[in-house]
Amino acid sequence: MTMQQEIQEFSVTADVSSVPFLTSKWVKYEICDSNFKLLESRWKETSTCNFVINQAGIYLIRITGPDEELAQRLVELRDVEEVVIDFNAEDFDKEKSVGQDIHDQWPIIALTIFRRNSNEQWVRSNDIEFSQSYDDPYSKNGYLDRQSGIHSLLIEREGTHYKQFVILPPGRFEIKFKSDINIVSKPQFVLKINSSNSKANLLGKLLLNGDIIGAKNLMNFRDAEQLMREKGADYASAAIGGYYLLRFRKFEFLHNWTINLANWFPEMADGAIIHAWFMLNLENGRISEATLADRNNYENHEYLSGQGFRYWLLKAAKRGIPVYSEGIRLLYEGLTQLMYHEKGKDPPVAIARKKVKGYLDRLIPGQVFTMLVDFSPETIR
Amino acid sequence: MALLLNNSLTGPQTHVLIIGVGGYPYLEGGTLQQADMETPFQSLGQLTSVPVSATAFLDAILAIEAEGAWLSPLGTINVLINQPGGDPVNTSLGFAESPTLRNIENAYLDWRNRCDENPNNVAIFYFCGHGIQKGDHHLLAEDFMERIRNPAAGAFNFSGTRRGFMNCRAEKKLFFIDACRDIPYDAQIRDFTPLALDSQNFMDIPSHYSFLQQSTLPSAGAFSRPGKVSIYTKALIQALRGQVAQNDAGDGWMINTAKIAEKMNTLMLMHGEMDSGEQACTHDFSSDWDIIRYELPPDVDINVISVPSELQQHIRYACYSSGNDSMMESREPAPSNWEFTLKAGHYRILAISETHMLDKTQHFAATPPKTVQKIRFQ
Repeated sequence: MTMQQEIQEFSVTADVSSVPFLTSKWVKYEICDSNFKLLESRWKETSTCNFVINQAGIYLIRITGPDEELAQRLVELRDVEEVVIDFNAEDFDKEKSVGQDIHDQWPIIALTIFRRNSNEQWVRSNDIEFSQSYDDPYSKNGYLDRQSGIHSLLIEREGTHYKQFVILPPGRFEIKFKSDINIVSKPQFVLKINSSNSKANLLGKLLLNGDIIGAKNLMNFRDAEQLMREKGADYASAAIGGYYLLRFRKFEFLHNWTINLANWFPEMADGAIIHAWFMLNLENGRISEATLADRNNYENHEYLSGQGFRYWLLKAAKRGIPVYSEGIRLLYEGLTQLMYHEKGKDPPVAIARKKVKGYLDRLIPGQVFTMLVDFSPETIR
Repeated sequence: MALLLNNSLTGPQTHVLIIGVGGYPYLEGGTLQQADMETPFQSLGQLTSVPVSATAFLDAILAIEAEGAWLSPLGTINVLINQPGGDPVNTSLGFAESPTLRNIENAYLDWRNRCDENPNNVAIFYFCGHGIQKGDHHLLAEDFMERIRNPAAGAFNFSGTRRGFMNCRAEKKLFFIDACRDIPYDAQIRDFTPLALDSQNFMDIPSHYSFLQQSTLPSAGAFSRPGKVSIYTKALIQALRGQVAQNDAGDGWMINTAKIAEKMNTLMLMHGEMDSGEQACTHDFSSDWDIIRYELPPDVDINVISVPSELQQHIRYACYSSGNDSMMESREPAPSNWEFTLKAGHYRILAISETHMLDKTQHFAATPPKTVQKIRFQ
């Protein structure tokens, strides 16, 4: 005879709708048991998350925001079967927030938009109109037509020589200005650029911060594959998917799409960088040829010559500054490998590496989108 | 002899190479300095923090072994540490070898050979001392500037060495570099291309389980207080000793490489020795793995704050374990926040203000590295 035991079910809902800085943001909801064993972890773009638990006890609910804001609460599940935990702004550890709101500095910021033309030069442009954000006086919203090429923004503090140069993501984006008063020696603005694809945006941030566990929880390889598949609609987010799959060496999910990303969007260096690293793995036999659905693409180019890595890195360097800071790192690393390989006797590689080094030296760290300090686009091709 | 610990067995083990260069006899303040106005690199001097940092790192490695916490037990430790003035450094394993370039190269090859013996070995490389990043990251040995006309002869190319190490059979490779990454003027204006300690197979891609953490950003300095453990090494030790531990799988408190990367900047900021943005780590890795497992929960810094803060000076606190209700800590009224340390776990705080006739009980979870608990009376 089998004994049937009734299992008591508890419903726990974490609610962050009262936390203004998490509105419409990707939030990580986690529930742990009394020994802090992680039972469930979910990234959600909604302000509530429900967990179903089938054992009474003490549980920990942990909330992590996209800028690593952290809050946690204990909940005891015993008699009440449905529990809602309302988090508010004061529950969060705000020590991690970077920068202070701008006050007096705001009026003295000058913004100039640039577009990369077919001669691979930056020219002044009027393609973008900014609108003030409703809920944050120090944010601006902009829209960049995906077909109109790569744009950038030069931010200058009037009366100083200080400049910050930012590559803008295509589509809708938001720019937040903060003044980092903590860095007395480097009085830079803290700029946060968010693209309209908030999930890709967060993925880029997690990869940059080294939170690869969080990245894997946020997006599985199929989702990243989907970003790559939809490159026609959003090539910048596709590049994030590409970097993600490269990082985890999931080449089978890249298929033969990297060459399309590189060829279809010649104004974006990132596609060429991703394809170069794909080619290196292909040339070293780390990718099965079966992965390539259509080898014809490659035979016409560089596949058989074994020069694909070099060819595409040089092409990327010629295309200019990558949209993503990860692109600069990979481009420089690749060119450095080539330079040592040829013992410095490959002048095009040496010239390209020197050019990319110029970007790397000016790169503002900790930013997903490329941001350079003291860089003027009109002086550099 | 740099090999100060040799517990080599046949199975997979952790092999450690520790290099700490605090004394630079040929630089500013050194015992053999031959400087005049024309001698380059005299902006670099002696580093009193280095011997303290490197020996603290060594002691942390040994403490982890003493607790049986390495997932691959400790096999060997090669140690090269010096200090300003030239006196040998006495570590808990005996006197360390001096970190001249020749000694570093020999110890590196010895360590590498041992790492090579088993593909499941774990290789740990730690360096603390002067660094210069000119393209690649170069690290300076004790005899740097012995040859004034050839400064590169007293340094080695760390980036190239790491690339060369990539074809070592030990799959799990960890590099912790606590050194500046800026370029002194003297390195900018002259050819400065030190050699690597190893040669690279150029078509090798970094091992899937290779982890590099550098204590500071490119073109930036790494900081410490004189004679104290450096900011980065202190945070690294805290990380390895449990401050980034998580019990996600429920079978022990694990130190995972991804958590070392993710939490390090928080740890560096935590003790208020620096402000946000002064120094930040960089890391390079493509996969995460567990290296240490603690049976017992780690220590957690607790900071109890009353809201409103004016009440703090009127409140008597007591903290109890949620499990057996035993009192862990208590405090009489005082104007400052209440700071103390607990093992990770569940607790209850009782806050009473007799003068204001207020009392409050609050349950909280203490999770590493730090838990801030606000007691609201509003």
